[in-house]
This record gives sequence, structure tokens and C-alpha cells, in this order.
Amino acid sequence: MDKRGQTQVVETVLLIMITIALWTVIWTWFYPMYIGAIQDMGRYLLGYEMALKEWVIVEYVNYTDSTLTVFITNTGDVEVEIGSLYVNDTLVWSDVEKIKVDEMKRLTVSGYTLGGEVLVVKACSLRGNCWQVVERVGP
Amino acid sequence: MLGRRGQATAIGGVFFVLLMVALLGLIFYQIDYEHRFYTKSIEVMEERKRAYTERIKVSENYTITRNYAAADVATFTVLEGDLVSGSNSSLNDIGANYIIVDSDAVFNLTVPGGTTTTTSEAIKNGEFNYGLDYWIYVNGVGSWNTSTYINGTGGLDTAAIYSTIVSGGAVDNAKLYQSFTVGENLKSAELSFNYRMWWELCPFPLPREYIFNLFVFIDNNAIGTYSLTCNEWRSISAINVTDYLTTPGNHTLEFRIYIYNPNKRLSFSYKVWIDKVSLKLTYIDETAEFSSVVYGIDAMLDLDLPDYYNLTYKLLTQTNISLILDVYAFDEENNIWVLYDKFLTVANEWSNVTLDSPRIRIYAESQHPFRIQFDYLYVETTELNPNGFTLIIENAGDYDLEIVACWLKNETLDALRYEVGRSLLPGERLEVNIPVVLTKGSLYQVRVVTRNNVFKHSFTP
Repeated sequence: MDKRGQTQVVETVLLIMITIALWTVIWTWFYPMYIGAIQDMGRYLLGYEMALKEWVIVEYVNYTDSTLTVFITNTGDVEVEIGSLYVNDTLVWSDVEKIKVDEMKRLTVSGYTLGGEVLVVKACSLRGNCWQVVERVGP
Repeated sequence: MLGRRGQATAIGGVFFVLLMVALLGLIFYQIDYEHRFYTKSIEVMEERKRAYTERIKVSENYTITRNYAAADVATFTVLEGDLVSGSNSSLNDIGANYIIVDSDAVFNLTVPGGTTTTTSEAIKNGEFNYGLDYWIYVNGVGSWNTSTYINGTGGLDTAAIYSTIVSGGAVDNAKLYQSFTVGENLKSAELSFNYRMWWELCPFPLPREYIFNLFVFIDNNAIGTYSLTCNEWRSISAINVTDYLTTPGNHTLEFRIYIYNPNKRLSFSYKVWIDKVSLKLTYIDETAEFSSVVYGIDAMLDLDLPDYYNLTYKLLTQTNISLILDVYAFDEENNIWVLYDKFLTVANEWSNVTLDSPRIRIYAESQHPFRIQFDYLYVETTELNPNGFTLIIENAGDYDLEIVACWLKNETLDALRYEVGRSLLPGERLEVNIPVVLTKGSLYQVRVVTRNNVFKHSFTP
């Protein structure tokens, strides 16, 4: 009786230890993926929120001496990084211009040849938002 | 053996539970994530909706109102009349002193006496358009009536007609007459009428023994005798009957028909038409000589003002008799004075003559000498504001909005930006003073930048 009881206890302890060891191995493999997935979703949500909060106004477009100047004001809730400027669907400027909230900046395109008086000007942010205006400018 | 299987089942169960807890946690996080994603999207859509329904009204005020002292801008000149006292500066204030002008005799009108003539028609219903009204008739064998006939121009006329059948050896007499009144100073009287006389054997003329006559009398004085015309109408015009109407009073014009049929066996039908009976009475009217002196005042007021949009001025005026003041404004384009307005003044009471033309003449005339006093000239102009203008922005939408900035540009001006940074509740107005001196006649473009939109507006001062 005493020997059988000791054996069962040892077996049970061994099984528990083996179970814990196996779970630890599995958890060690699963946990980083689990946390990573959650963090990715959080980052994506934050990025989406930031993109939603972006808003700029193209206030005015001026053309003088082969220079096109686009006045952009950030009226959104987050800082915007303007990455590209298109005129009549042609990329005329590509860089990174940070515009803080409520700040107005002018983007200058030198050496621009006016193709027509009516320009479709589109400014796009690095987060993928674009704002378009139609302007009549004089040479 | 049974104990070991139970242990394995227990361990497997623990594994399953732990795994399920981890997976459920991930699923719940995913659901929460999607909920937050959805909530954010809805919030942004709501904001965008507000942006698209933003509406503003933009207007501008670039004028100011100015007043001028009369002495600085007005020149008062008396062209006709006597300047008794006063000068341009007399119009500066009320009551201190006046410009007083007395009338001159501008012309003496004498109309010599003479004679004129007037002509009137004495015969009523001479066209017989009202049947035999106003006429008195005496039937013989036949009877008087009216009938229509086709006149020379193809139209229908009405005439008096006497129809009769005179039997062999018989005589027929009939009369148609009207009384009329002749007044004093008759100069001339002319009778005219049309007639037609027909008998049954027309176009054969009447044989010698037959009698068929139409006699015209005035007061039993024979004027004329007329006979058969068959189908032809004859006009008797302008018979001078003045000598029969020399006495004022009532007279009678009478048409008498006499028919005699000498044929012992045969009866004949006779008809007489009479139309367009007219008796023109011409009277002499004598007029006495008339003479009158006309007094007048002609004064000119010239205002020398800077360029303005609108001008109003009031000239405080008094006349000693009630007068009609004719005000003429000078038409610069056509170089002529044009009657602008008329004012009827009340004698000895001050009244404002309100005008808006910078160069006027006030003209008044009367048969009596008169006096005009001018006391005060109030001049008010609306001019271009020399210090800038005010942009008026009204939130015409249903949500509050924020005005970020305004832009101003014209053909020559570089675009100017004015930072505003003001929130506007629905219906609220914002006045933005822009210190730019506008050029009259130039087209200005204004942009009002809100947080979500750019509104464009243009105006020409």
C-alpha cells in the first residue's frame, strides 16, 4: 500500500511538471505572436485615427514668373506631412513638408510652365490623404 | 490504467482551456478593435458632413457717409432776379442769415383783342342714325321712314325715306322738318344734304305733265327745288343760307315733297331719300385785349464734390407766396438742363427741397412779385472709404464654423492674406476690417477660408 501510494504521487508530480514544461514551451512560442498581432492592430488603428484627423485647406494658388506657389493650411487635428503635389494629375513636387496644426505653409514649384489658366491642384499627405482644388491662375 | 487515462484527460483539458482563453482574448480584442475603428469612422463622417454643409454669406462695405459745409462745396448764383442779401456761406447753418432773392419782371405779355370764329352744327340727327328722332314729319298718301343703303365707299348708311304710290290724277304732299336755334353774331350759315328721287319707271324721265319735286325751305323761304335722280344720289353742298338766319332765335328747316300724277288710269310708285343734312353756323367771337407781367427767379446751385456713389442734399427754402419751383438738373453727357422735379411751396413756411444732382437750377415764376429765401444747405455723400473696407461674413449654415483667414486680390494687387481665427455660431456675423484702399471700378476677389472650405466672393467698388 505504501509503495503504490508513493509511486502514484511521484507519477502525478512528474506529469504536472511535464505538463507545465510543455505549456511553457508552447506559450513561449505563441505569446510573441499573440502580443505582436495585438500591437499591430493597435498601431494600425492609431494610424487610421491619425489619417482621419488630417485635414488641410489649399487656400490659394499663385503663378508668377514661372513659379507656382501653393498656400496650404493645416486645419486638421494632427500634424500633416505633405509628400506630393500634383497639377493636372502630373507630379510637380515631391518631398516632405511638415505642417503643424493651424500653420500655413507655401509650397513652391519653380520652373513651372503654365499649360492653361485652369489648374487642378492636388496635395497629398504621407498618410495617403489628398486634397484637390481647381484654380484659375494668370501667367 | 484507468487513473493514468484520467490524468491525461485532465492535462489535455487544462491545455485546451488555456488555449481557448488565449484565442478568446484575441477574438475579443479584435472585436473591440473593429468597434473602435467603426466608431472613429462614424465620428469623422459626421465631421465631414458638417464640413460639406458649411455655408457663409460674404458682403462688403467700402463706403462712408460724409457731410460738407455749404461754403466749402456750394456756389450759389442768381441768374434772374435780384440778390437782396446773402452768399454761399449763408447756407452753412440754420437761421443765422439767408440768401434772399427778389423776383424780376421776366416778360410783359400783351395779347391784343380780336375776333375768332366758332362753327357749330344746328341740325340734330342729320345722318338719321337715330331713326327720325328730332325730326317732325307729315305723311301724305305715303309715309316717312328710315332705310339703309350702300354708300359710295361700300359701307351702309341710313337715310330718311318717303315712299308713296300716287294714283291716277292724284296729288301727294309730305313734309320733314326740324327746328333749330340761331344765336347772336352769326357770321355765316351753310346748308348741305344728300338726296335721291326715284319713280317706278326709272330710268325713264318724268313726262312733261308729271310733277315730282323736293323743295327745301327755311322759315318758308324757298332755298331750292330738286327733282328726279333715279338711282343716283346727289349731294347739295354749301348752300349759303345766312341771309335767312339773320335773326337770332328759332328757325325751321323743311323738306317738302310734291307729287302729281296726271295719268288718269295708272298709279305710280315714288320714293325720296334724304341723308346727311347739315347746317353749319359760324359765329364771330370777339376777345378783349389782355396783358400780364410775369415775374421770375432763376438761381443756380453748383456743388463741387469729390467722387461719390450717392448724393443727397436739402435746401431749406421759403417763399412769400405759394409757388411752383421747377428744378432743372444739368445733364453733363448731353450738355443740357433737364427738368428734374417740381415743388409746390407753402407761402411763408420753410420747407426742404431735396435733391441729388450736383448742379441744379431753380426756376419760379408768378404774375405777382415774390421773394425766395434760402437758409441752409445740408449735403450728405456716400463715398469710397479712403481707409479700407469691412468684409462682412455671416454663418448661413446650421453648424458653427471657424473662419481661418481671408484673402484679397485684384488685377494689380498681390494676393494679401489676413489671419482671422474666429468661430461663428449659426447666424452670427463677423466684420473684418481690411486696411486696403480700394480702387473704384476694379474687380476684387475675396476668399474666406474656413476649417473645411474656401469660399470665393468678388465685388467691384
